[in-house]
Amino acid sequence: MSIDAALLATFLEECQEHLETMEAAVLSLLQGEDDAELMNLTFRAAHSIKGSAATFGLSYLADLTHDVETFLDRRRKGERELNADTVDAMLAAVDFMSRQLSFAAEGRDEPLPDLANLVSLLARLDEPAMAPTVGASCQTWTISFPATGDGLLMGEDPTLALKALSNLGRLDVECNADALPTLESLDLSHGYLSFEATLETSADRDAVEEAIAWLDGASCVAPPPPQPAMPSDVIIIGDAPAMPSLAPVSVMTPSMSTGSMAPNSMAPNSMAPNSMAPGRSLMPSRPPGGGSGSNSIRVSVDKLDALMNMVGELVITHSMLSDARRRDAAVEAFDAALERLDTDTRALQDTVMRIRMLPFRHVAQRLPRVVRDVVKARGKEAELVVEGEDTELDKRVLEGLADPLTHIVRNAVDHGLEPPDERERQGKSRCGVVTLRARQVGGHVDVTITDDGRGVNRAALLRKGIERGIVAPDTSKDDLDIKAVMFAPGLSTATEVTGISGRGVGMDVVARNVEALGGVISIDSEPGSGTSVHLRLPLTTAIMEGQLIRVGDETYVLPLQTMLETTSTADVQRLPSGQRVCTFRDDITPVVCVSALLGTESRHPTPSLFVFAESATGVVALCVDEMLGQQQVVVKDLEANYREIPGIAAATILGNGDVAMILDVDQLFTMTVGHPSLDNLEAAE
Amino acid sequence: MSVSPLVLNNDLRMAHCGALREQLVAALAQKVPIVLDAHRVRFVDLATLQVLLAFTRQAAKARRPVDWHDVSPVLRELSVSTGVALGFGGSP
Repeated sequence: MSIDAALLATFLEECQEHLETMEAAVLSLLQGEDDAELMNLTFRAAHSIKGSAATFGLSYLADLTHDVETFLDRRRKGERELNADTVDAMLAAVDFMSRQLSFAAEGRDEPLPDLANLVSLLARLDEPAMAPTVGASCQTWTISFPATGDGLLMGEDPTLALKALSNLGRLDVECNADALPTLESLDLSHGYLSFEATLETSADRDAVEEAIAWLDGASCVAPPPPQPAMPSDVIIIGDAPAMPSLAPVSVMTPSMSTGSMAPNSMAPNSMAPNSMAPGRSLMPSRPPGGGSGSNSIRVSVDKLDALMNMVGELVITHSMLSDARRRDAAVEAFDAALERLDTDTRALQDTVMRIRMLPFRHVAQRLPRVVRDVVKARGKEAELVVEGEDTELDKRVLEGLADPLTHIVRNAVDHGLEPPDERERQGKSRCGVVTLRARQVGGHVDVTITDDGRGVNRAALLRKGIERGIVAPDTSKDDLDIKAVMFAPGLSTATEVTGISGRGVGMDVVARNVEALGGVISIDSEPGSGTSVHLRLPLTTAIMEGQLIRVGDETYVLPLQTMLETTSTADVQRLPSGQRVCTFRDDITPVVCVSALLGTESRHPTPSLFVFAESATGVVALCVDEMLGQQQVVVKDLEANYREIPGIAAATILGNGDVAMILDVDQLFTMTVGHPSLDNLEAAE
Repeated sequence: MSVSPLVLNNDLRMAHCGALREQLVAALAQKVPIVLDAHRVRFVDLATLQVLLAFTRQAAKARRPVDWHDVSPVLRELSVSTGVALGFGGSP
């Protein structure tokens, strides 16, 4: 990747983070949190995007963010009202900028056609004259921009800050070009020019600081208490720890006479780390989890130190083993070294896993927007409660979770919650509640989405299930397996397609996505009380706990998370459709013959062992030859390394070097149900 | 004598300023009046501003007048907001 491409990728990633910050802050404002800091947070995010966009030549985006900034600033100062229309406009701006960034990521350097609409929307809600006027309450600021040096390569371009300052009032700038070499010897990526600016403005301290703060990566500086006796009070915005080669910028507090101010002193590292830096996140409504999500992750130095320590331990263990071999040492010495290697390997695995972990909030923070949009479109009243935001999950799991969660929450509000009047008639509060809970339980994370709405309409679901041939005609409402019907492709009981949900496209995809993460989805519903969707997810997709099973001469891995029970005896029956079933915990369960489906030859003429496993569509009984043991396995993507195989989710390498396939229980179920003739259980009947 | 102006691109940023420098160095080497047409300029970053400033300083030192034709508002405003005198005439 070229430097330009790498910088652009970083820029796009950071902009998406800023947009998330903006969106979350705007939504919080709407919820009545009249917090000046939220407004400042939004402003800073817009400002950061503006600076970076200009650096990358996206002048139309820089101009737009400038308008957004001005729009915000008027609300921040109380010059304009902050109302629902304002929030709508802000969210529209966030959405537009996100789409524009995606456009830029595709290498398309032009504004989207609806830019003009957005600009006119902002203008309509604001006054045309946006520049602050210089009046009697003006203060004079002296601002210094030292030469940025190599920071220019990182986008540290003071001309952008100067342009922003010029929008705040009357700006006089002196450029010092003494360090500028000749044209031929100019290092094009080095900043040689320094600037001294005098700004006369009625804008407050925050506005002035905002205009320059992004230059060194610091975006939040607490104004010092007024100190009239110390006119030369200086706030230093030092080098941000995470950004190398960044020149410091200092701002002098205003004084009645600029001549009385002492030159700025520079004190790098005198400021706390960027206090607004949002964490990594996934954006279902923007880059959806997965493909277009970010491929990078921010890692704390502590975690990297721990990793480095572990690597050091491994090096020592390697030395011990080499030494033992050279000395032809006794078995005990090898055993000791192996034991140490085992400990080191597990610790290393744990450390790396921790690096990949991100808090659940990174996906949850997108959901208030989802709820708001549905509420607005459907005339509902809803509150989203999120619990367990600090629960950590692997980044890839979180990415894969973004879309399913969005869909489930959207469905909960759109179809689960009743309209306010109806709720009131039922003695419920007008405002429905959707609760999102995440918690770690052992080696997995449970996520539950609960609403206090009307619950699943079992009668409608049954009718649809029978119509679609998913449910036997004589099935009663009470015996209906909600999950099996609800997660069937294309099924919806919604009487109205709302444009938000209701086309029946989705819950099967949700189940598929969760399964693809190695998770399990289930659903409970109580008429009149609400619905709960439960997701059980692995902490990581890179390593999983597996049950090794043998079928014929092949060893397979069954995700331990899906395994419920094993038995050597099962009463296998044949349905009129040809499908074999057996009974499990009083339910009829399809029987899946692994050997027949995967083309291996069982060593036993009749099934000797049944493993009951949970799939997205229900429990299945897998016929296998032998249970071998449980172990952690490293998941290797089969499609990337070989090709897709039906019924196989991935592969792993066992301790003896053999490759073992990891079973996809859901696919095996589908293959069996679709092709009952594929099984070989004649002898079992 | 008719001189072809050197027309500056609309997007003048670091990634492109190497090519611009080559053009300006070549222009300085020629014994014909230097004419820059800046009507298309829509964006200029610090890297390019430094190239332009180094160029105008060298031209002045070599007593080679630079004739700016049709300077775009963006470039003119940048000159004002940064205090970098490029010799357009007028301020700064």
